[in-house]
Amino acid sequence: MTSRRAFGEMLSDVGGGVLDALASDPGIVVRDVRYTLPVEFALSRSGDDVVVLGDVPRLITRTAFDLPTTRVEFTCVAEDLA
Amino acid sequence: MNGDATLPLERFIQAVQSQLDNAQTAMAVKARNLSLPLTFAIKDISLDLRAHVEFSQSEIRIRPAAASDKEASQFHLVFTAITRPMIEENAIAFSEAPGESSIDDLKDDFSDEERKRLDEWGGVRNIDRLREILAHPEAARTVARVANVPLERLRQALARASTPQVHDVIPVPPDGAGDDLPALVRIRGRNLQRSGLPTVMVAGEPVAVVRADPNEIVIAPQPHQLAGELSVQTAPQERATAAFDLRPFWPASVKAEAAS
Repeated sequence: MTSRRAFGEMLSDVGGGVLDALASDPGIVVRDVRYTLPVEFALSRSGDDVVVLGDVPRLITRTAFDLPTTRVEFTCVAEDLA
Repeated sequence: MNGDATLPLERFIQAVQSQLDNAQTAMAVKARNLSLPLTFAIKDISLDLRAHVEFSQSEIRIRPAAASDKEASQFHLVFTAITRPMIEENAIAFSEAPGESSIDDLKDDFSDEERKRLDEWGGVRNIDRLREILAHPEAARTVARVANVPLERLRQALARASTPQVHDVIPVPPDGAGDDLPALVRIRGRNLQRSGLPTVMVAGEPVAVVRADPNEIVIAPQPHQLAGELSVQTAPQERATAAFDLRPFWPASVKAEAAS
């Protein structure tokens, strides 16, 4: 069984993809990026802490064993690091 | 992983916020590692979460839908980034002033669950807020209905919590400014002032009040008012009494005047 990533980890991987593109071509200017993704959510407990797991579906074909997907829309805007 | 875990809705929202913070931090670290001058901040995020809803012990608890869950409810959650001034503005609105009585001080009047409902559903975070709400009949009825606590019990709890209490009666040490100034006495307690100055009496005679706040009153008693029954009245039906004797602590000049 492949474990799902934490929701924040998935968001930073997807959102951070633009940073790779910017680093590879300094001529690109991106002000904001909008995403719409299907995400499978679950909760994971670790002691008293609860982690929200949220990852994109691993397979295109859905089966009765897959978690229902949640539509997640988010916008990332460019911000000075300083 | 525990697929059957349920979570109070507010904790779920906090857990999502924590994940958004983690994502933001990870992107900033990545941008620095790539020597980029800017990063990307998550501004708005909305999710249509499919989940089961339970209601127990005055809490809404949710569990994300499992595989083959056809009857799950759908939550539409929208998060948006807020600025530091907005956070500070909200923090001020919810903060309690030093010395302000919390709703938890009413634990003799309300059960844990009732206090939780009053706080989270009725917005009654402290006794001052309860007083404000009960001053407006419509708001009072609404809070009583929402928190499922009879209005009369709210009024009785407020009356008990508002009763003045005298804890200490102590002399103010002389500051050496001059013997012609009156000696002062400090009365410490709770609810010692409401609107306007309280009426303070010793053995049935009024005493001059120098200043007053809810936790302390400073009085300037006459030499013959150094002992007896002290009464502090903040409203027609709100009175506290205490017996005191400060004669042994008084300056010799005052004692001589009292004796003459």
